Amino acid sequence: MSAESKNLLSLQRNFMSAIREPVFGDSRELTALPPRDGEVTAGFCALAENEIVSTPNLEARERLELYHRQYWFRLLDSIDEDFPALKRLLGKENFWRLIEAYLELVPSRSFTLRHLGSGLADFLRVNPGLAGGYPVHAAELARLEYALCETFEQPKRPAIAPEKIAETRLALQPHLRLFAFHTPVDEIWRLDDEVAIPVELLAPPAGEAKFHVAIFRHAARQIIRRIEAKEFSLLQAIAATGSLAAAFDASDATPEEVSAWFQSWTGFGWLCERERSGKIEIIESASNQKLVNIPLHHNS
Amino acid sequence: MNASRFTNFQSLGIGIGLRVPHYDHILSERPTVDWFEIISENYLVDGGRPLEVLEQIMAQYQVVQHGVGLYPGSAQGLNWDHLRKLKALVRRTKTPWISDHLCWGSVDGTFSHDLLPLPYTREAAAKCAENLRIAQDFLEVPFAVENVSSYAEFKDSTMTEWEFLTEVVELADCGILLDVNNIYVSSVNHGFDPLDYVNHVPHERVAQMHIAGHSRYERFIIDTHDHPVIDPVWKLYARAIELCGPTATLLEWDDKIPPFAEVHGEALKAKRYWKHAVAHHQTEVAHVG
Repeated sequence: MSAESKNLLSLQRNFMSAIREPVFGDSRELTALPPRDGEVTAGFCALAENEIVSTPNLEARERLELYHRQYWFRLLDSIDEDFPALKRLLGKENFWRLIEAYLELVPSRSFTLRHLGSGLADFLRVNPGLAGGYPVHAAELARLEYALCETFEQPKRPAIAPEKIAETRLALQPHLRLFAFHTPVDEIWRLDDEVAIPVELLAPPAGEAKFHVAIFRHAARQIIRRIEAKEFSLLQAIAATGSLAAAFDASDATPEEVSAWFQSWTGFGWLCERERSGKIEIIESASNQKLVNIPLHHNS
Repeated sequence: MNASRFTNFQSLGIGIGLRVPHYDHILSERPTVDWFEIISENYLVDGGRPLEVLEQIMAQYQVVQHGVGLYPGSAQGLNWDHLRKLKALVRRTKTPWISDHLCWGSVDGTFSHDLLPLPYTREAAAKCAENLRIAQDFLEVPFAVENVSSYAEFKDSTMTEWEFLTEVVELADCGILLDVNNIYVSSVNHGFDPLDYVNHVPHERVAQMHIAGHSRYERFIIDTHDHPVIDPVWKLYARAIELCGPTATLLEWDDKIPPFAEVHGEALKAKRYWKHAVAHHQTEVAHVG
């Protein structure tokens, strides 16, 4: 890399550091520039004063602050669209505190904003103090809402005709996500914005995961559907073995149950031919996460 | 309408940006539209609803790819994974040309999702041109680079923005997507005459134009794409069309998006300037000849 490119790289690194500095909560309502004392670092001010031109209408620090706010508002608005139920659960103040802390530690590593929330559920598991008193609900709701984002852009393969299922190595549709939740987050997600979340839905989770949920795309819509525990296990087994017969042999479901489930699976086109392994994601335990806990940042 | 090597020798008229709130209307009503511009990054996926809709749109309409994530101004060079995805989409859409912005936006793998400004220096121009040449060669379609709205200029700059744009496209031998709204926004934010910009870019390289609305504050303008086009921008567009000849033109409306008919109606106002421009441009060409 030439000296000139190094200079350009150094400028770009400094600029990125400046716009990624924490945003102050009330700046969402502020139109006044420049940033107030103490809101930005000395590095931010030095970058502005050393590198950016001031004009009579805008000082250098104000110009950099425009980029700083645009960076944050774009990301915050995007997450806001993707996690409406999580926001309802936590309340606005807790939600924005969570999201700002998340984005400070987990910046976007993807070309698309659609992937911005990919680490939010894991972040919540290792930072339960940011979950507004509902750590398991919040992490599971974040997982559910991000699954809706994933389902939106995952491929749909040709569904297997029922008569060919016995002779085909099976997989589940790439757009199908299966979850075993400890909390009824699918019910919370379905509530209207104006409706307070009933206390029984917010009861602390106990024991094993007992709310089994399928999230998928069908007829241009994304669907969240509660399924039975045995149905969940059978689908897991199909994903693992590629064979309906083998999965059935290992299941304690009755033929009548399997027949009813099978009808809905074929109706939704959940079974396809295995090319690569069908993706299946299960939340069973939050104990094996490797993210590092972080101190809380209070910017609001 | 201009057809040149920068448009893959294709002539397109007035288009609008393909946006989610209009999907149902377009697919059910099949309105007459010259072409749609798609944001490439919205379709760099393995499948799903985005590609399902795109396939249906492509069955009836010409689409042109416009990107927001290549970042040819990146000091660290281009992201090859991104380029490979873009190329797969180019093959799928058969876009006559492809465009993206003259900016940077990511460093060390962290993305800003913004179109960040560059210093207008020879060194930055050379880096941008190097990246654009790589992109154009790899993608195997003409590349048009778009001027961005900006809110900051760097003390290191040694030339004007239009001189920088000219240097980049001539070094890269690529086309220009001339965004006249962005010129207007930057002219207010930095205090230059937008006509100087329009008058001095290499007109023969302009493959496409953008028009849009913006938000005006007391001391600056933000490029929000959430309003109709204002008269000063239309006047600038008229001058650009005079100089470049009728050019594929696209209305951007990305926020507070009104019904399809309103967006399309706003875009079609561009046609008012074409008739005069054809006569003017032919006269100019005759003089040159």
